[in-house]
Amino acid sequence: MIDEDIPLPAPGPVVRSFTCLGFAFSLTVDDPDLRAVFHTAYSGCASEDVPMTSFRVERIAETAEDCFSLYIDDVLALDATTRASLVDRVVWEVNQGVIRTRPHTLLLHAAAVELERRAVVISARSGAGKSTLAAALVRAGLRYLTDEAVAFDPDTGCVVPYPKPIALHQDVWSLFPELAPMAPGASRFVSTVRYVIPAEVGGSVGAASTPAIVILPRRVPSSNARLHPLSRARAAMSLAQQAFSFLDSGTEALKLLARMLQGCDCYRLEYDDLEEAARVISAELRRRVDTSEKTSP
Amino acid sequence: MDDLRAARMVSRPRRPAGIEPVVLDDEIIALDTATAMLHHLNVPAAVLWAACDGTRTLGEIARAIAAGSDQSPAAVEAQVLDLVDALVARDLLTLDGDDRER
Repeated sequence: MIDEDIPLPAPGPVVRSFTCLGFAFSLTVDDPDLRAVFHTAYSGCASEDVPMTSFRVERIAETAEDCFSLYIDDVLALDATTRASLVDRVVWEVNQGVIRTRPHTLLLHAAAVELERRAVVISARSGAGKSTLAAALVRAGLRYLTDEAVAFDPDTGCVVPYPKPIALHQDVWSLFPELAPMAPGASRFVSTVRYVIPAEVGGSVGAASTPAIVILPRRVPSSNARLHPLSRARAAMSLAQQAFSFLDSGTEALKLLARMLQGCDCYRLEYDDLEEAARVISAELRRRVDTSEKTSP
Repeated sequence: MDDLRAARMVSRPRRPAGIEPVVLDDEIIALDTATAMLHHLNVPAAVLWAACDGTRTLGEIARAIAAGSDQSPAAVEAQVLDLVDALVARDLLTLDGDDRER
């Protein structure tokens, strides 16, 4: 028997949870287009962990369409005048959460890709092209681990994936013609950085992997891509400069860094052409994988 | 050899407290916990630094290194003195009577 009509609750914003290197967060977005952007970007990090931080994005009702408020744990963090600035800020905040969450393990500002559970770690200062190189390596058949923060797990001896969206700056978009043209209106979500998931360059997210190769890349105009062997100690000095909170744990991070490097071949890479650099790195990793297979029992 | 160098060869250099070394292959990364500085010691510097335990004179250390080298003792001694200067300048070694506050 029907006594009265009961209105169903209006569909509310969808809450999704993600975990990046132990940093669990929820994301609640009322705008469906914006929600799709975030959910796609962090699809490799979806989880059911209890979130330690909540991000909530709400349209500012009384203003123009592209104005949103970002709340972090219910505290207003940003009134964004563009969707793009909002996306940039959330990605940045997630990175900060990751860095805060893992202060006592080794966390390097670096990119990483893997093949057959053997990882290449690419370390360089900000803006030196780590993300671009990582995207090119994924396109070349390696699997994506991160373009921002390499976490070395001392218990497993592995680099743990942090498959955040790959941040490609505007000046390298033309190097990835396979990227689908942005849908009409999608440019509203893009500032000077386009966030790309591995599938967009024909690849996938990898698994926890043993560090095998460390690359310190440097663009040298007109040079052929070449790997120059580097001692592990020299590589350690460079990696230490790119580590987050390196000395907060005393000598622990240094010991972990040494442990991470024990089985690694280390190189300085000089290159100009991105494709050529990706080929050289891929070939070196494939050689390492083949050697490991031949020598393992 | 001038008097200063001669005096150095009879000093007994030692590694100060607060330097935490990590060995990577034949090289050393040394963390100075007082200054939060990292130092990279290449192979010759690492060999010398490891030998400086405060019990042997620099001359004895230089002779031991020369014995395992194809270089002349004089050449090794000169290199050792240069390296000691570099290590002392970075507070990675102290010489007799050179105990600085850390």
